[in-house]
Amino acid sequence: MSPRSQVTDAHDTDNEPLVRMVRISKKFGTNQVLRNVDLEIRAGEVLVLAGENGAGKSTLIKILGGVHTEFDGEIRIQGRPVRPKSPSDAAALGVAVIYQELSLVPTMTVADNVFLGRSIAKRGFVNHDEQRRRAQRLLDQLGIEIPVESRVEDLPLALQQLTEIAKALARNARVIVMDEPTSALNAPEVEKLFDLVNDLKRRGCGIVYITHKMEEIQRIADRITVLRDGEHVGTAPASDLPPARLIQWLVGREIEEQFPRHAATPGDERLRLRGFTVLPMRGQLRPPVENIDLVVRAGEIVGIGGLQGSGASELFMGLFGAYGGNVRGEALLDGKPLRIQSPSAAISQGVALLTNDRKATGLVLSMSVIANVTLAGLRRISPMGWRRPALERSITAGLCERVSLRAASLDMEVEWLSGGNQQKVVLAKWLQTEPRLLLLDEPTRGIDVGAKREVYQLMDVLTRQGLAILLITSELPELLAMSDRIVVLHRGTVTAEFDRSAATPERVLAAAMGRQMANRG
Amino acid sequence: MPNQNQNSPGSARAKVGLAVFLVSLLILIVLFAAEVWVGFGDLDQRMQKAISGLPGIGSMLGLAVNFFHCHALTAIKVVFYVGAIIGLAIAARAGREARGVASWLNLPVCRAILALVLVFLLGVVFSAEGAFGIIGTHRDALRQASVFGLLACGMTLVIIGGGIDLGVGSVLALVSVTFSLMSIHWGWQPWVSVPVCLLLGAMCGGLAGTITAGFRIQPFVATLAMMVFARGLAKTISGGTKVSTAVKNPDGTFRYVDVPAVFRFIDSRILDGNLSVVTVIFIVCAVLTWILLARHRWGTHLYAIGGNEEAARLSGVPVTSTKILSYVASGLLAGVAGMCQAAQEQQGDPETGTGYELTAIAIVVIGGTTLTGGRGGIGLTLLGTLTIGYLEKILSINAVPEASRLMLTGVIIVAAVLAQRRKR
Repeated sequence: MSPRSQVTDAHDTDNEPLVRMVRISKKFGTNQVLRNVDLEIRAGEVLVLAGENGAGKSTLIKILGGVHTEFDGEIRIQGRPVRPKSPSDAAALGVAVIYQELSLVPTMTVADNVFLGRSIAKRGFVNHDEQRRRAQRLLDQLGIEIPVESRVEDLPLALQQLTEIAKALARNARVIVMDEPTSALNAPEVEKLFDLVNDLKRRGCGIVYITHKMEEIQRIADRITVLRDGEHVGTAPASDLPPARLIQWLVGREIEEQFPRHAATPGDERLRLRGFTVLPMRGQLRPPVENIDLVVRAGEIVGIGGLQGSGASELFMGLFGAYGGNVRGEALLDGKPLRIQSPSAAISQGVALLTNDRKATGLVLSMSVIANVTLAGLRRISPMGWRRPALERSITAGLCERVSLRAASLDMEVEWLSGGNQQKVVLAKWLQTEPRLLLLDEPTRGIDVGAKREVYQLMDVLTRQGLAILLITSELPELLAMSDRIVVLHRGTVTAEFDRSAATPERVLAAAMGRQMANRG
Repeated sequence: MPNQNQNSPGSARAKVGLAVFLVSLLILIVLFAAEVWVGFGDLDQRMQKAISGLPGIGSMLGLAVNFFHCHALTAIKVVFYVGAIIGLAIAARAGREARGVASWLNLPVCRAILALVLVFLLGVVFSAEGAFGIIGTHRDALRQASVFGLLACGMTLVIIGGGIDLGVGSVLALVSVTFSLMSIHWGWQPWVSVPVCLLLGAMCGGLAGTITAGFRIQPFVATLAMMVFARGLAKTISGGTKVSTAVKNPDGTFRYVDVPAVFRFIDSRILDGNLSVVTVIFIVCAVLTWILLARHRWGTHLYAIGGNEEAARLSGVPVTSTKILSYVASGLLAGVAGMCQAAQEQQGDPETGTGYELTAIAIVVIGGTTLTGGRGGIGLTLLGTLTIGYLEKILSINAVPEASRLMLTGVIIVAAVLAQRRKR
């Protein structure tokens, strides 16, 4: 490592934590989002920062990262009182924050990104060779295999994330904050990230890890700090905080029943796929979805299992007409052939798709709750195209009650809602179209425990009313608990199908990876 | 310690700032009303007399008092104008943090209104010897702004849908030339020529829209092509010269024909000569556009596309046709503007309307419609039209030379957009 970091090492004492945040308070307008929160980050440990959405985790991290500069309280870095004035100021203090939205320039190379903002230059001219060499050395040290010459936009998300970490380390960061780093990674990639985190621990970095996933907390946490509604609930060593107790801390109440799924009574056949194939699109060598046979009955939740690249999302998009007529095979809805040309055709036939990224493809953030909820079904409630605002409002109000949405006003822009409430807006939008088949792609991604439970309850109620649901989720417990049947995909084809009673985590995971192993063996 | 109180220092400061602004506003309006009532020279002279009567003031303030003596009224008004701006600035700054009282300052519509009020105050201060108090000044300001307003309405639709239309100035010229040719030279009746011209404008818009939405070419590039193409077409149709009432005979001599009735109608005034027909046309078009945007499904779809095109598509919004229609509407309104322009100039000039598209964009942006799409409205554009229109008029009645006028307009566009910037 460079001489600079050795100097900071010399200052280190065993007692003083790397970062101590004391009695931090923060208001947005009249909204108190943090109240006297304490946080302590020690060298060589992973501190998991846990809390439901809106608990104040992100705000706390943004204060440390120099994004929010107005707050009450004190920050000490290695004993010295500091106030980060900007993200670059925080970086100079040795704090690197890796947000969910990566801060890389997609059109530049890995090396350029690693040295972004502090290029190795002489009289303003960048020394690309030297940058490449140093970036390569850094990546080698970390055991990351990324070609330094490749452009970031060409890399899969997981490698982009690792690039971000490399960028943080290039600045000699001693404190690394990761905000839900695994939300877009598949299982092997998560393993790689965990290896890297352990490596960073050994080097004496302090790591703050924000996550919603219980299994990750159990695997990686040394200590856990829990926030709830802007207040510090407590900090404890991970060994003293078993899952039941942690959930109690998180929600402030016992969750007696996490998954409220009742036994299903499947009705008539709602959807039947025979040899359903999504043709390869630009840049793809093989069809993302090939020869799928699938049946979903009314009142049934069929879960689709699979790792990243299984083609599950593409199956949904293809079925929904998002790829136009770029599909082959037979699709019957209630015994009648499903016309697949466009999303609007799918909607008019009673198919609804909740996409896996509500901000990018689910919501129009600049529009009001009403406009978002009525967007997909506007055709049905605006005769001759003329809108009826009063009717829209009453319909929206009714739907929001059904999905238990909590919004200050139906006219507020959805941008200002929390993640859970945003997801409820998307659900309300699709309920407004009165679908017969609901495709849910990661319906609980990035939402808090309470909202998750409400989504599960809604799914249960809807199926009892005769709706058929296809569910994609990367969380195995959710898949196993909510699905009446599980169909496992691997590289675009079905590898297994389980009834509720036959599905175990091991069997599902084996089927999701099975084909690959068979091919290699 | 953060206090839980609703009355944070921010909103207290905002209240003071607003009070300063409102008091200054009131004083300015009272002074202006007195000026219009008494007649300009009179009031000013009385004030000068009163000031020079004050003992010792002349020797103390020297040069400043000299100005005071010559322009007593204007000087007093400038003081309060500056006071109003400072008050408003304080209120806006505090309103950024405060909720409650001053949070309405964060609404784009309030900011657009305040920009208009400030321009109005400018007219009250520099009233050009009371000219700003005459109804004819306002009638002319509105008339001159109407053509730009028509273009800006169409531009608003396109910009809300996430696009931009650089072709409107050229389409205006094309329709202007065509309308003149049909009305003056060919003697066509308006119920034939007007629909043909509207169709022509709509077709130009539709072509640009199809190129950008259908073939997925960036709107900037597609409409830039239309801007060049339509200008060329206008020159081809007119033969490169102005189409005026001097009609060329087959033997090469010229004869002069009457200005067609439809031209005279569009250029006339109603309500005892107090309102231009062009302004009425603009208002009607603005209302129609507003109805489509705010009350029709198409308008909602446009907002959705501008806000998040992929989410809109996956919600069943017909993206391509909705976008094309916005360009058709823009072309249609440019056609209406072209006919108004021809009637006012009493000729079809193929060079007319150069740079109008940029003025239209400036109007839309000053109103508070965001260039990234998804946010904005016709009401805002109406305010923007008035702001730009009055600014031009006030500068011209005060005989500010065109060079300075252009520079000032540039500065004011930046200031207005800075004030409109979304706060978090």
